[in-house]
Amino acid sequence: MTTRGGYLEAEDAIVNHYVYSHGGLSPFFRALKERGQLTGTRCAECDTVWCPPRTHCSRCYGETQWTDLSHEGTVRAATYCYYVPSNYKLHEYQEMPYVLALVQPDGASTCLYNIVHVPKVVVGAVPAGMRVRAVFRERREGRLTDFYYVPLES
Amino acid sequence: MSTAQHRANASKASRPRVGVAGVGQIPFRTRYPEHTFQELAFEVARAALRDAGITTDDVQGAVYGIYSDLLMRQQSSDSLVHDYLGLRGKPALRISAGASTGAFAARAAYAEIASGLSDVVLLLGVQKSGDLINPENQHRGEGTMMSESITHDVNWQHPVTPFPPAAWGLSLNAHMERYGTPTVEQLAKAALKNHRNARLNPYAQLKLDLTLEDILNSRIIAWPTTMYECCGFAECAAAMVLVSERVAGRMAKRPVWIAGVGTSVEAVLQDGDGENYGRVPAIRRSGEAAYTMAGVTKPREELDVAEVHDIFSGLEIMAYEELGLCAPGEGGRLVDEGVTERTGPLPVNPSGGRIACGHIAGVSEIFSLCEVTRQLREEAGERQVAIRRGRGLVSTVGGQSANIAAALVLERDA
Ligand SMILES: [Zn+2]
Repeated sequence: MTTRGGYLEAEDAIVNHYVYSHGGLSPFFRALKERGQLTGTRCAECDTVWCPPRTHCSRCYGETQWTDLSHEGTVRAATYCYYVPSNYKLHEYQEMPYVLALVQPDGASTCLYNIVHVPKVVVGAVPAGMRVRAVFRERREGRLTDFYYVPLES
Repeated sequence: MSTAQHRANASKASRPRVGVAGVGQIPFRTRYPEHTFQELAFEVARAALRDAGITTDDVQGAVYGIYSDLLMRQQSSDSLVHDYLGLRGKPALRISAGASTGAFAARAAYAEIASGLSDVVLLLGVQKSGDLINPENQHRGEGTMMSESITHDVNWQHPVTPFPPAAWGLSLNAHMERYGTPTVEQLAKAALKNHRNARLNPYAQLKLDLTLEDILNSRIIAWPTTMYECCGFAECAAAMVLVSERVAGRMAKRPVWIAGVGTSVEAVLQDGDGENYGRVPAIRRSGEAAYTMAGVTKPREELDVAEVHDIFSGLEIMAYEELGLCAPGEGGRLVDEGVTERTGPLPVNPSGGRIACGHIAGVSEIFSLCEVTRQLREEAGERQVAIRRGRGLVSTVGGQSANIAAALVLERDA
């Protein structure tokens, strides 16, 4: 297959703007924004505590109830991120390199992805098992990035 | 014979066989600016039909593996491809399942034939990906990765981990926490193997002459994964003709049979310390399902070749363990012992894999099925591996955190 006379390129942009609802999970994002509080949902049937929360329990289909969660938690795994494409929004609130971690909030059955801030990002700075606490930002928008974790001792 | 073996054989006997009659591939490339996605699809469809010795008149329907509309700059592109291939009026189905898209499409095509609905199905994966740019700096890679990134859960992952290697890197770090392996050297060795294999593959995108030091010293993307241990991002297309046993004898070549198919869709990584901590359960479950169906009980001895998704080299090593090629935690040792080298007892990714041969969701998985078909037909040229038992494996994984997986066992008649 050949393209006679060479190919012609054209510019295009597909831009979509959204105003979306967090639906039944709105209490989580409202608590972040309005109270600076981490919340989860507890299943009335099987006691699973979901965070990320779910309005219904995916394990037993039971109803869940909202509960405030501890701001302390435990790192289950971490990775050290040295490169992220320059056009990502992440750069507006995070310098490179940074530590991405899977953190299990105390009392939760599941883990959240979030960033752990440490004074110096070096491999091994955030070992699995490390105790961390959530720090909430002054300006909050109702997003996961309204808070980050720091080592508990600091 | 064990009960499990007996059950496997019994279910095998009662299930209609589905064969691969033709394969069609083009090389992975950063871009194919001289061709539209319809043209790329046409090229591989024509090659697969010719390989099978049939025409579009013989094709009763098509299944398309097409991952992303944003990368394609087109929604419902399957119907446009279908028309371009001259298949208008015939049934068409489009599947999307992350970087397992093509393998899930293969399962759908398999079911189409095994159910008796069709005798001849065209299975085709196509994906454009290099047409996007970051308008700030004209960088195509950044434009592509921006679009790709929303595969991540937009509320619970994307704000903190928009770039795939990081979220997937957590799985690898969890594995290293649990088992103490693989080492950074083993990760680099697995990548080096694939980079070397790609140099023998005319379909490969990267043919770099790298040393272990080059790989270890390349920039860290998400520790411990370095740049040369990450998959590429390409444009490509690949196609296969799948046929029922009833018509297989009319094809130009002896069929390679699809002996087992397994798929699994898991939760996004969230278990803190459960049984799946540091594991990739979707790969394990898909592999077990495919093995059971194919009657494979000792994969390390019974397979001649495997193509697995080395989205990053750590994932290839974790796949060894989940696919039962070794015990959990032993995958790194398999690399050290050279077991999975192209000339080793069980070659893995003789194509060069996703790291060096190339990668784009939807195509890679069908490309891997083409590769194993060619290996079992012993027409893989310079990169041909030794075929002793006539069985090969394709394992794929993708999604938000290695949570969408498929496995297919292919086998040729003795
Ligand atoms: Zn429950």
